[in-house]
Amino acid sequence: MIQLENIQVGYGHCVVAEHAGNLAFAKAKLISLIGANGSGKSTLLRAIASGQHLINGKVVVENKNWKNYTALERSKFISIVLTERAFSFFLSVRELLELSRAPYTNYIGTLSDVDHEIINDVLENFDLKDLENRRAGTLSDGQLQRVLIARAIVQDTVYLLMDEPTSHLDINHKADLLLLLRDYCHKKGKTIIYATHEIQLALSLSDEVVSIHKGIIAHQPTVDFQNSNRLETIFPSKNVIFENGTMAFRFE
Amino acid sequence: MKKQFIILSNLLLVFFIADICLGTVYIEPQQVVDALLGRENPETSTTLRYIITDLRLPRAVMAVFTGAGLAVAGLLMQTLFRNPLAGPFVLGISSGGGLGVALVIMGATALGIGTISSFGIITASVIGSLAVLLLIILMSLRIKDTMGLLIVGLMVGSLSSAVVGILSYFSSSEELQRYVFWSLGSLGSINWDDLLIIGLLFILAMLLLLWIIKPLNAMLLGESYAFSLGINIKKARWIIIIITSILAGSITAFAGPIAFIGLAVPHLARLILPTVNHKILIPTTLLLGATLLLFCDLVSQLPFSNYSLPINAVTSLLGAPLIIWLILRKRNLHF
Repeated sequence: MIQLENIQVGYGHCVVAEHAGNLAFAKAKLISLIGANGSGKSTLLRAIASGQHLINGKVVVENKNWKNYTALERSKFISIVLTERAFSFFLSVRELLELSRAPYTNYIGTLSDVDHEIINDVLENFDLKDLENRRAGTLSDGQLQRVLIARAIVQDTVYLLMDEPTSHLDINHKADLLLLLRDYCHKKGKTIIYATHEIQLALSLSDEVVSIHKGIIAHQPTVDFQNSNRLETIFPSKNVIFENGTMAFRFE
Repeated sequence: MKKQFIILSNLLLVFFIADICLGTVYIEPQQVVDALLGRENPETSTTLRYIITDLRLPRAVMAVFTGAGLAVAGLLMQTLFRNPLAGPFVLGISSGGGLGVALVIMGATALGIGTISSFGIITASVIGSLAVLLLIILMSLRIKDTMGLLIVGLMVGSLSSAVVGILSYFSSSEELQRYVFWSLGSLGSINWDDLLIIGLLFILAMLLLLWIIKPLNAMLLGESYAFSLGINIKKARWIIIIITSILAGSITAFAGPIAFIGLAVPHLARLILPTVNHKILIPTTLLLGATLLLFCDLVSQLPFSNYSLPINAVTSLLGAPLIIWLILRKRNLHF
């Protein structure tokens, strides 16, 4: 269980988003993180993952302050998918996944049979078998995005924090991938918290919704979120209509 | 992969022997091998034996250390700074050495000390490199951003060059020539005592290197991902800087600032393997660096002639077209 106690996240002394009281994320949930541009979605994810940008309050993982974990212990609890692409484009897809087994390998990074098995499974599940030997630099944005998600899965952590994992993907891949991630959460008891702009997909697939609006973080089951009128307040536009959890464009 | 290692090791051996055979005087390979293995060869005169063991062998060994050391230092900098243009001297280490040497050569007359011995030049270079190294390490305590460190390194380099520029402006042509000679690099003025120092430092660097192979590989994913994989980035960064400084600093002190090997060899190694896994890349870079510098040294001695070229010119003459060719062929250089 991840608990956020009275947290304030932001830059320097400038608080971007906050929540008074406790936020708890249980296991085996797909949780979407919704908010307008600049509302602090990425900042919140980073604050949870690395303590960066955490101004006040604390992150508690399995009843222990996240600060008191060593880097290696952390790497076995939380894995991340970032929007930045700072990695070597010379890495092959397989090498990229192999490196992500680092928390479990010895000092020189030797992979065991189990490691290879996990990597093969993930390659299979994410439809990446054909791309296995391709260099990261030769992949399309969408393919790369799938590889990065697979990378986080290979790390085999209880919690996965993803910053816009479905951006760059075709609509069919978006739907397939999110469904795959939801099944992964439910079957393996993992929790994924992912920031997204895909409102409709988020509402139809995720178990819970964390929303940030005007600096206030709220956490609700998806049904409750749909029934409240938070969507209209987060994304106010006379051209977008929200009804019963569906969204439509109306241009006059 | 095994094939590449075998080919490279054989090439290294061939160039090593050839480097000893060729020079102003040609020595038969059989004589060289015999002398190296400590076997008596009736055809080898005492003079030839002396040339082999005390002049050309130290030179060839120095070429191996220099090539291997600079190449691996360049690789470390490219990985640390995630920049294909980084080399062993981006942190300003050679500029520091250069500044030390310039101060000693050109400052000595100003202070009325007279001419400085070659030992004085080496000491000055060591002190200059060390000073820059300390400065960089102190800065790295304060600078959290790796890219910031790269820029600081470049600035330190510019600063040293500026001071060297001022010094040269006011110095005599004789002093200037001595400085230029140092900056063109030389593998020849090495004796066994120097080699012992370099060899020990080299071994120390290699031992430290074993410790950071995993962090280096993780860094290929970028620092954020590496951190999320439980890698202690700060510690790894420190060790990388220390290894690079040991290698680049000691080599620059004794051989002068040898250009290009550190930049070009890691790219060549990635191309022939082809992988970026440091477990394979590091040994290949070491082998390839040593082989290439032996070859450059061979060329620089202009065998069968009485002339020789400065090593630094040869490495750049061969290295620059190589990089251009790589870019034309592969379109992209990676880190």
